[in-house]
Amino acid sequence: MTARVVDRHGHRPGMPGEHAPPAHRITASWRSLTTGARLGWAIESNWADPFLFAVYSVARPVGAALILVAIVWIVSGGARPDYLAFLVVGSACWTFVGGGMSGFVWAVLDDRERYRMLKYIVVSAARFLPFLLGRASAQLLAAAAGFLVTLLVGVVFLGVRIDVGRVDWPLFGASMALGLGAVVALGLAVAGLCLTIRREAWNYPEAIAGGLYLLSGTIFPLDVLPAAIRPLALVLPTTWWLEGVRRALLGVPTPGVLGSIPDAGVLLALCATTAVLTLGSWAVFRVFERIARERGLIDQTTGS
Amino acid sequence: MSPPGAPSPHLPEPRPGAPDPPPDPAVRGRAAGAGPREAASWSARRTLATNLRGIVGRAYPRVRGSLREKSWVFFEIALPFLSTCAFVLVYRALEAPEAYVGFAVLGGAMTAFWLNVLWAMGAQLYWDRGEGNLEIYFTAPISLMSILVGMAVGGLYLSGTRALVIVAVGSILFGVQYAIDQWLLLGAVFLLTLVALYGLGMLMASLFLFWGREAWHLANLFQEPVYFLGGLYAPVKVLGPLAGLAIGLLPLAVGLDAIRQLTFSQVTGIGVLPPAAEAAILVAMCAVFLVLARFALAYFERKARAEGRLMARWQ
Amino acid sequence: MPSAPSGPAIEARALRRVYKAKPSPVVALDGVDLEVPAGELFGLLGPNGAGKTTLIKILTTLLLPTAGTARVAGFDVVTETVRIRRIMNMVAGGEQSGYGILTVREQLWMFSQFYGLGTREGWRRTDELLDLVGLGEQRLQRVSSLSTGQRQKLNVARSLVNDPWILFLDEPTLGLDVGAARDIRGHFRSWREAVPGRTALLTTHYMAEADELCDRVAIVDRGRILALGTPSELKRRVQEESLFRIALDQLPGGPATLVGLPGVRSAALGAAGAGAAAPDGVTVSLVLADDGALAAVIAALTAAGARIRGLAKSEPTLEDVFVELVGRGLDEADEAPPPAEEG
Repeated sequence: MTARVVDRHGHRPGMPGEHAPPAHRITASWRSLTTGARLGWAIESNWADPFLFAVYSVARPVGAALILVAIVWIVSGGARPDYLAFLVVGSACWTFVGGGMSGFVWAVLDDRERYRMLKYIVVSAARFLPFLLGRASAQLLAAAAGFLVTLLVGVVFLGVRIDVGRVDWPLFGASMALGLGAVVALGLAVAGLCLTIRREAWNYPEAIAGGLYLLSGTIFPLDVLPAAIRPLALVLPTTWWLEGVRRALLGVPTPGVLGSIPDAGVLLALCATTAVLTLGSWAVFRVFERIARERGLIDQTTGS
Repeated sequence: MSPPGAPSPHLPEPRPGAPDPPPDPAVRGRAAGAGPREAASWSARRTLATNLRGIVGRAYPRVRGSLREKSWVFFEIALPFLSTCAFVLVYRALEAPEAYVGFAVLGGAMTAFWLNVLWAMGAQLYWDRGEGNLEIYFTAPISLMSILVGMAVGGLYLSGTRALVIVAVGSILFGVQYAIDQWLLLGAVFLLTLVALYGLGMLMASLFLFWGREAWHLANLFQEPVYFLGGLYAPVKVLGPLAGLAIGLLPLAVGLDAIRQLTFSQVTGIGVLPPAAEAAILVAMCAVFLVLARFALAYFERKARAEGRLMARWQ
Repeated sequence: MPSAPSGPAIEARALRRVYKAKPSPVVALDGVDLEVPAGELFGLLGPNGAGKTTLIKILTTLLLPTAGTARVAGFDVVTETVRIRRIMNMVAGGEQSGYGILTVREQLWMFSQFYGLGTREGWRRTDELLDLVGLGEQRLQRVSSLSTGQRQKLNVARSLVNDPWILFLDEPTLGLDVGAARDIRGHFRSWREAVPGRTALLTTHYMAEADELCDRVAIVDRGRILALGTPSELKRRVQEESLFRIALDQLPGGPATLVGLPGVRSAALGAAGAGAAAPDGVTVSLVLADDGALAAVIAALTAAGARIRGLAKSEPTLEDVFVELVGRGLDEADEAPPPAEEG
């Protein structure tokens, strides 16, 4: 039975604390975020062997980068150092996309189906969205380790030239901040979707990351994409994020479509696309959250 | 110790000409007069039939679930296909010979099986324990290997579809030209690869049975590095000395290497060993992994029973 | 013609189970001796942490004992697990296991396959069992949409799918409302009565459930069996004493206030299921050496500032037996052993 609850003023109920004064909401959000982060870290790290946790945090991104290095090696015999650098930076950044989205999705699915705590979190005074963000932060942190190690492997073993003294740090900082914002927004949207679908959704972040991998020019310049889908790449914040980071670290723009755009243009495009994505993701999350509550799916268990 | 009027303190002896069982649905099929000890003695045929039915039973929710919620078609076929396309485009960006595009398409298809083994089989027991289903498997009179095969068969429905779509659409879209001379050997190598791969999956499942969250992390650890060592997107031969290790340990590496040689016979010098030799390695792998899995499952089941881990949830 | 030797359906000898835990190991079972004849519905009554579930886990082959032996239908629980699994089944209370994506009918059929029923026979048995437990109308509903009581009924149907000789029931009515609990008790009673030789081991901390269902009951606490007999045999142990229930607005200092008084054998707070809890107050169950000791109790309660709302002399229940044996009420003991070893 589905019941639509409406109070005597005709309002439908919101999340606990939704109508609280702004100061209380900020405090509650901060508390929810930190609690979620502590829990996420405990689950992701403390219950595993620390060595194994550290290894797995870096083995995936390094493994992914090595696949590409092997491809370059077999085709060009190591004669394309520029392309190698392009690949290493793209692969390093990409650890955040899979990890960031997985953090959100696993938080929803684990808490709903394994620990069966999601319903208690939703009905508690905690703010759900900041809690999820906190819960996902452990995987983002692990992704950061993967990012650094992949770059390190690139520099030390593969001869990628990143001169710390010549890195455009403001561009790097701004690109990373906005890019990670876009990753979090993506994670939020997928987490919302997962509130309404079965447990097998745990691998959806990977699948979505795989799709974006192609469209964002992660491992090849956008010019290689068929012309018909190139515009799609240009509306993705991940495309601009990767370009910003590459320019900041390697000092040169990617040749081709993006090559003629100035740094400020790249940042502006990243800013605009991230803002649109964030608003869209927030709306998607709210819509799916409402659907989940209307259909009574918050505490469903769906194993197969 | 028995109270007055209590039933006989011993198990019922068989009674010749015992009356028909009462109309209780739970009684149907019970041999008249047979006691529990007789009921516990099954013929080899019945044991085998029950295990085969157990496989069907465990595969059932997977297949049913995927038919019921069709979002997997997009998430498990369309998006992974895009991922494969990305590697194809890297080869195009590097202006590699066209055969390499075919290598990437085949590798992309084979990832489906590796992911199925890793997550839907190896790590599945971790989920099942958390949900309380593991206890039910263990109290059923079937081997855990049947449960695992059931998982594999149910998962094959998804991963087989995914692999097929990637090969079909990828080949058409990118104009991959295959040159296959030895169809029989190709079929045999493909089947042997799957058996060896799922044997390895069972071996991993035994570890996952015993471990908690570590198993989850271990599965994560194995994903991309195995893509690399397995030569999924670039022929394993490029790994140099590591290629020998990969061929000797990973069914995916040896199987894919042979499949590539057999499907692209126009390209020479891409294989580590001749396909027939790699087929022989796969036969050995099948035997070793399945036997090891059987012993490891028995060993870890006993260890898990000793330490109470079969019921330990939420780790 | 079967020729296997006959013997008890369930047998445990000096059974001991210790969980490694910090700061010290937890002894869940401490030398349990038990013999349940075929055809009996045997109850294990005790508070949380008494060791009941550990015993069931060992008997259902999910856990190995640290020491001692246990047999089910004469088969050893350590070495002859497969044979045991062919003829037994189990139901645990408060479970949410299953596949939410399947319908009720599909889930039960899936389990019929685990026990080797033919495809058609499995569907037929599934429908029959669903009708038996009253889930006929829900057969096409998804498992995830069932209520707690309906899920437990499905669990009961699952436990009967292999036509077991021996059923292990671990708190099967936990968390259910009165009606659903009564239905489930009814299913087990009729299951047992349908065929001579069917045996069940029930663990519960609901006294009335044990009293109603069980031929014999063992009272367990902290891994030991304290008493064993039919419910009436056990109750006779406290019949020589006077049993009173006193409803109070409050009891400052708890039942311990009364225990030291002359003639008071034991005092405990009334437990759920005893039907003694007073709204907005407390109920105390007292075992007195004789009626004369009551005066001192009333004086002590008055002095402590408690107001007496009601007083009744009562017939003994299994709870009184428990209080007499353990020295505290069922609800006053609440320590559970860890589910798995640490480290």
